[in-house]
Amino acid sequence: MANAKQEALELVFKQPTFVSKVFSQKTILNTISVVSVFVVWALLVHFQVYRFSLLPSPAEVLEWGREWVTTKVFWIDTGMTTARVLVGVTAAYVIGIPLGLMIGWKKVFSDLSFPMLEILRPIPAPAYLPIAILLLPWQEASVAFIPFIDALFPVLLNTIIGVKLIDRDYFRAAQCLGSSPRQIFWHVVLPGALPSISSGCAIGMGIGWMGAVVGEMITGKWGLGYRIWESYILLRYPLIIDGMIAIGILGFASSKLIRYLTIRLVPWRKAITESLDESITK
Amino acid sequence: MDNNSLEQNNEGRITIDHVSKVYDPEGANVRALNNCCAEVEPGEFLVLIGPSGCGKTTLLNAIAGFENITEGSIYLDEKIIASPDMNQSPGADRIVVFQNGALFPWKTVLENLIYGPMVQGKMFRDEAVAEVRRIMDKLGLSRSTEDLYPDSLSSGMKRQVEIIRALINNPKVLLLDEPFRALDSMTKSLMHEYLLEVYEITGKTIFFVTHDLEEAVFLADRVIIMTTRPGLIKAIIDVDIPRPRDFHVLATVQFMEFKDRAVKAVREEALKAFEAGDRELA
Ligand SMILES: Nc1ncnc2c1ncn2[C@@H]1O[C@H](COP(=O)(O)OP(=O)(O)OP(=O)(O)O)[C@@H](O)[C@H]1O
Ligand SMILES: [Mg+2]
Repeated sequence: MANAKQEALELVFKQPTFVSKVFSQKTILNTISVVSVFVVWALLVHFQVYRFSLLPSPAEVLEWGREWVTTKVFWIDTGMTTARVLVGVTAAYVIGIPLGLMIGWKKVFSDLSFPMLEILRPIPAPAYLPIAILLLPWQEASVAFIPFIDALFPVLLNTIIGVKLIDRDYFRAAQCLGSSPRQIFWHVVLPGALPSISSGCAIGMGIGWMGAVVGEMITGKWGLGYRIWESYILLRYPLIIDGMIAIGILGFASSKLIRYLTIRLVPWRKAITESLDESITK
Repeated sequence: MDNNSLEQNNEGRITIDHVSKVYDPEGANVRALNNCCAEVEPGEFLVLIGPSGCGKTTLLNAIAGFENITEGSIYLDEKIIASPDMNQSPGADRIVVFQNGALFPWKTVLENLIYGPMVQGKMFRDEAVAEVRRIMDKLGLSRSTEDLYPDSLSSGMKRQVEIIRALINNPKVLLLDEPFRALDSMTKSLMHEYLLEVYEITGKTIFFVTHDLEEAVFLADRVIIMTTRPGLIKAIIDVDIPRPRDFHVLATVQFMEFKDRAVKAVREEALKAFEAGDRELA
């Protein structure tokens, strides 16, 4: 009798087994999407469709890639690009978040800074590079300026919007309960904007990777972006694609990391943040 | 200010003295209040009722200190809290419970409840927590909710927490702007009885805004009926139904009579509002 009951319960609350996870619809579809890209690419190259005959095949790319990751150059390149992204994007967080909070909260700040920001915003980040090289003593460091500029605007704008969207009643309730402006900042403005800030940070991180790679293609002697361009010049075509894959994986991993951290920062909106981050990374 | 929340006292008289309010005097020039006079006695449960758009929220916001007034003055006991030439400011002596609820979603129930005493620097954290628990017990809020975030509470329980968050500060008056409007009718009637119980225990002055007649008569010592915009006081009905009241009151002849009188008074105003092309009486 007890056994039958147990069995019935197990039927209802069936834990997903390893096998059922592997064969879940999601996993299958995800696998299909990745595999099919490689298959189509291999076929296009193999049958020399249009100018695909110029491209390396997946097998070649894999072979070159395997060797590449064992070289010191690969690790220096990866380290350089990662460092640039982290420095640039962190600077964007450090400047963008406080600035955005003040602009969103106090009209004085928004009146002061908004016209200038609106003019700066359409200027693409690489356009800043010459100035950055002139101003910064070390050329390799100046590349970090591009991910900084690229990440700054999404971080800033998301922060501003995050503050603006806080319901007026929270401010009023805080005032009723006797808060000083400073307490309102810490207890209402900052936590209220946090969900939006965290998605701004995730977007900024992704864009930061693009910025760093673009910068490295323009200047410098190191980095994944530089290596891709060099490989093109030196006709090492498989390495171009290896570089692209490396950037893709690193960018993906870093936005995963941001996602992991932000969920911890907004425990009251766990479900929402998860779905939000999913829509960003997808 | 003494620290003993929930002490019965003779404080909390609101004097509304020839108050007028014009929104946007240079532009649209909307006169929302016109020469309003009323007095809320200490410890009284007063309900303000009137058709939509007549200026109820405007009056409540003026008392709360959220918005300034154009003419007249408002006193809380001997203290002037609003006049045209003063910078109004909300304070913990008159706390608002909002229509859509304004518990901070980023704070747990306990953090929400201790917020007032903490930011006012009235208590240390331990003291505040002890006081909050004492009042939770007294007003029937389960301690198991302490560590939950507001979004995981039922809508009725959220209102309960918000009322307690206000009472912790031992305000002189509670200001409620249609606090139960968004609730389903079942929860609403439970919250009516809960509020009456709280009123019975604390003896606070309550200023309650609604456009639900039955709610008004069930809860109030006095019902003030406001005219269509520009709002002024049309009639006052003394509801002499003995306290403590519970839902049985709703079925008595006495209740029906009071309700009938209120219906007639409000209907006239609603009709006027309707003919003036204003919004509906919900
Ligand atoms: N900020 C504002 N600027 C201009 N007019 C306003 C403003 N706020 C309210 N009003 C107008 O003043 C009048 C009174 O508004 P109020 O919100 O006080 O009405 P109410 O009685 O609370 O209505 P409801 O039952 O719909 O809540 C309305 O006609 C409204 O349109
Ligand atoms: Mg209103």
